[in-house]
Amino acid sequence: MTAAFIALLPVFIVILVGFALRKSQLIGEGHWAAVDHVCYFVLFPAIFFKEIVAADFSGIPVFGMALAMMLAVLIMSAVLLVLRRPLYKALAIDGPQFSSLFQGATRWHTFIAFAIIPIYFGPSALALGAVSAAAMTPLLNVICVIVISMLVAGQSPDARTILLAIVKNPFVLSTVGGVLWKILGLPAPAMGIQVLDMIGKGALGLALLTVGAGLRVDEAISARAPVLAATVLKLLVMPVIMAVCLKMFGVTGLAAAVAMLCAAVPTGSGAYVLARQMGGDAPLVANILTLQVICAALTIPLVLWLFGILA
Amino acid sequence: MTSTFETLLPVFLLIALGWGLRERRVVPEDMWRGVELLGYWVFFPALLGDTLIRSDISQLPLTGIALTMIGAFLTMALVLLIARKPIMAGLAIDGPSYSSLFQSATRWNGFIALPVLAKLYGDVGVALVAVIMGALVPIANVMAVYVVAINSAGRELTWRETTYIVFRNPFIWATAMGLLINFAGITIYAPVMTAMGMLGSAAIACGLLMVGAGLSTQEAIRPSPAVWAGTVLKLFGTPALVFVWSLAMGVTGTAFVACMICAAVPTAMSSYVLARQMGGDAPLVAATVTVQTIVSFFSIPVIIALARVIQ
Repeated sequence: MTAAFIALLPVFIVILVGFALRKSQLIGEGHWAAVDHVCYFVLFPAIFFKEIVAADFSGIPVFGMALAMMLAVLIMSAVLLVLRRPLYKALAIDGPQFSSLFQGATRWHTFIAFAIIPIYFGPSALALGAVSAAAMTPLLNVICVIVISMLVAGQSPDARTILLAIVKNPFVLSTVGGVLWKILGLPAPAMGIQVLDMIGKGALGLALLTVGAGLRVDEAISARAPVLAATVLKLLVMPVIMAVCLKMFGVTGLAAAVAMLCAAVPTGSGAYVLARQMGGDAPLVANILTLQVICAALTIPLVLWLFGILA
Repeated sequence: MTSTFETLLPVFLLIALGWGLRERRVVPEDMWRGVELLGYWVFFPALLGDTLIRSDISQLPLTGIALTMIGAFLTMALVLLIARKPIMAGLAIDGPSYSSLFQSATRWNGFIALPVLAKLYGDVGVALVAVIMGALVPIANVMAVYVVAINSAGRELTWRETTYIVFRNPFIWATAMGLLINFAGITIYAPVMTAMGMLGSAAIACGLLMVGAGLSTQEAIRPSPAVWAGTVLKLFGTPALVFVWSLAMGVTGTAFVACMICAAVPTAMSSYVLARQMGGDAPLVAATVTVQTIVSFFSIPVIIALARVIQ
């Protein structure tokens, strides 16, 4: 546990640096938004594409891993939706707030996961992170768009909205593009891979800083109960569900460990954007993400340590 | 020669990518400012500090390197200052334009030199750039500020302002701290070092994208004689001077190649900022940087190949 904690400490130090930088106002608010935008639209798509295209997937249970991760997402979503009415009552929340709880409990922060993977599992494990992105991100996007729309507008979104949510997402485009490239057997010129690799290396540190800059500790917490619930669900319950699913599909070793990490990281920053666009409770998402990032400094090492012992 | 060219190709591809992203407005304007600030205040200092602390620099001829670079710089600066009148008459330029020519010929772009040396020599290469920065940046900055101030009807600087210019530079701080910690044999807590490494690894990609985003092809379409003068003096004149000075100082081997590379890279991007702030000819700097960057794509490999034969 201590070893895992110390191994992950650098990630949280960099997040803290990002937080301190925003506080110091050395870099303006608008600049942070722009940097985040570029990580999201340019740099991370470059990483996903490169990792999938350049990876050697022989000997890796790619399909089992992908299916286990998709199943885990579906189970968490189903449980939350089935227990919706009791949750409304117990936590005293409304539809938009529930939609933020839902996003807070199901999504994952690729920036944090991808920063941890190379220092904890080694750079070659990034390919497994890209598999996770290809498996979970499109599915999560569709589910979240439908759930928010149902809860906020009271109706299922039309097919066009769902399609746009998939097609316009840069993570989906880059992972699906990478998978297609791989399946079609298109060439991966060494020079191109090298350039993408240089970009990727730069993106990880930059993205972590934006995570820190996005933390809002001084803001009043709008509703305490859903924030706590989402944090427990995401950081502790989601890894348990993931462990069960991985067991069911017989995924072991490094692939399983990376999948566990992707389950154990805080919710994604995309949740905030989606909540704002579709009328969910965006400030609540920000509260959830902030608490999750703080708690994750302890819970991620705990999850990785426990999984290492049990697996 | 061809292999050197190929080693440098990713560096220039990243510059081209930065240019393309800005030109096509894929990336919001604010992003570049954000990345520039982060690169200047966080990523590059982290990289320099991290590398200097970790590297074995006791074998490097630090004094010889510093004297070579300062000697070459002062020679170029003195020649330009003494020949000020003939240069202004010969190229038909005014004071502000002369100050831009001076900046274009004497300063250097660490954001380009660093990735090149990192690719060629790894950590030793980065440490060498750090040492050269520590030696050259204070004197080059002060000279540049003075020359621009004198030639653009600006007022002279007070001692306080001069001190501020030297000591506000985070590269100097990072280099000084790194050298101090290294020589004193202080051990830094490992997770802090890893965090610094993560931030440092963002430096190269961010720096190069930024260099590309700063190029302005409109300004450089029809280079004036002053642009060509700045380009030839910088890309060929400075390496020639460094060659002579390194002979005199007895700098050989890797250190010699590093000095030659730092001499052969285009002028600093901050020249443009300085020219704009202090009434120099900013468009001339922009045009010269652009032409220099394009020409250096071919000239740097030639200089490296020559330097490696001589070393």
